[in-house]
Amino acid sequence: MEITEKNRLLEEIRSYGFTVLELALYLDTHPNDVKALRLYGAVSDKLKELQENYEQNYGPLTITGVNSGDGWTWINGPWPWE
Amino acid sequence: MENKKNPVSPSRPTAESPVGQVVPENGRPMNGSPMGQVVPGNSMPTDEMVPENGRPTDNMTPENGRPMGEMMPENGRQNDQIKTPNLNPPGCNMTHDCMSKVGYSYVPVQAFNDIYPPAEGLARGTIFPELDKPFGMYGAEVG
Repeated sequence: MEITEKNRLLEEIRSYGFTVLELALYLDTHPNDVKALRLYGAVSDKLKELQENYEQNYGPLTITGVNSGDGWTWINGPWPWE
Repeated sequence: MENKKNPVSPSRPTAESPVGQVVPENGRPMNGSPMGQVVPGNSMPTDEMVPENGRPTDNMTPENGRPMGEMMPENGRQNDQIKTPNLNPPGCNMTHDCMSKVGYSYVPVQAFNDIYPPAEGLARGTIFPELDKPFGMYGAEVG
């Protein structure tokens, strides 16, 4: 049950991450597009929220997500080859 | 202003811009162009680049912002230094009868419309419906 929720969250992070990247590429060539800029702000905020939610519950996504107050949590999850 | 877009036309030499100094818009010498007539040792001062209407124009300067005179070697042997892939059929003797055709390309600037929801965008490989073109759309695969 927990695995399912964890994976669902991870999938959502991947999706929002892709949308942020696509909007960023669009904004590189349309830096004054107000509608795209607004959407970028909303989607990247949502992505940050999802990442924080994931890291609080399941551990760090990236090396900067390690909260040193909790100890070295980076090694708690499975390694890529596990 | 007649002929405003191309004030320095190779076909219309003037006192301000003799044919020998005409440079294509991309700033690079072309095979078989009037560039071959560059006078050896010509230092190409930039005031000679001013078009007929007397105003320097942006299209006289290549993208790197340097004046065109710097793009060209003074000895007029620039073709020795520029290697371009040969896209012509085998045996082509570099005459217009057999050389590949040239042309201008144009792609309209993308406008912002609605985008796919995140999950659909990731699945389809783009968040922009107008860019979501399955393979084969431009070819014979589409019936």
